[in-house]
Amino acid sequence: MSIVRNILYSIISIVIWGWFLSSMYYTQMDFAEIVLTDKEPPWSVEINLLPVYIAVVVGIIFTAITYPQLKKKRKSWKNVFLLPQEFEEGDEREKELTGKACRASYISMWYTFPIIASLFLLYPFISDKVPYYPIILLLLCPLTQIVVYFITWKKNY
Amino acid sequence: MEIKNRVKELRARHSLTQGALAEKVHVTRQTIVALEKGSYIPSLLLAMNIARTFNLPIEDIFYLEDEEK
Repeated sequence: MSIVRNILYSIISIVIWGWFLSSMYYTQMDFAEIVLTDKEPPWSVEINLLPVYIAVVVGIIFTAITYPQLKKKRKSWKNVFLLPQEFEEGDEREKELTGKACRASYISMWYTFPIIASLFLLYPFISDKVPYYPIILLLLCPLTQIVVYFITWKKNY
Repeated sequence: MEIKNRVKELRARHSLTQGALAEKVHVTRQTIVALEKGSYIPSLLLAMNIARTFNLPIEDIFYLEDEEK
């Protein structure tokens, strides 16, 4: 059950991160125009802080729930913060499962990477409506790898 | 050829729960469950720890299916 929850946390974190970057992209577009046109001050840009607030709140909640459990399992705080939270390596069998899941996840990269890279070709058609399209495509890579990792883990568990 | 084991039988004989055996050999309870189901082949270290827990040689607990007595 904990792996399901940890995978969900990772997916939610990536989605929130994507939302934050997408909204920041509009800010950057405004800022780039100011810089490139050498606009005279005073000038201003708008930042949508809603995804930042949500990311901070969700981050605090996730950390409060997972930190005590991960600290008990992983012993050192370095492993708690530096390793992905879906990594379960409590004993030799879990290490083997993690190895299998990582292998499948790596293999999936070779299938998803060319597809996702090809999807960049659609960008010229939608760049006006969805300027943050490359951000979404890039974040699809870790999302698919996490999903493959999870499916392989559950299949072998 | 398949490696089989008598862990379930020996655990019952020693009145050990899956959790208690898991704690003795430093693995998770799910690993004992998988081992008893035959879906997981343990490492030599884990097999030796289990053998030591039951005071038996490894070959009395783990055996190849076609060598079954």
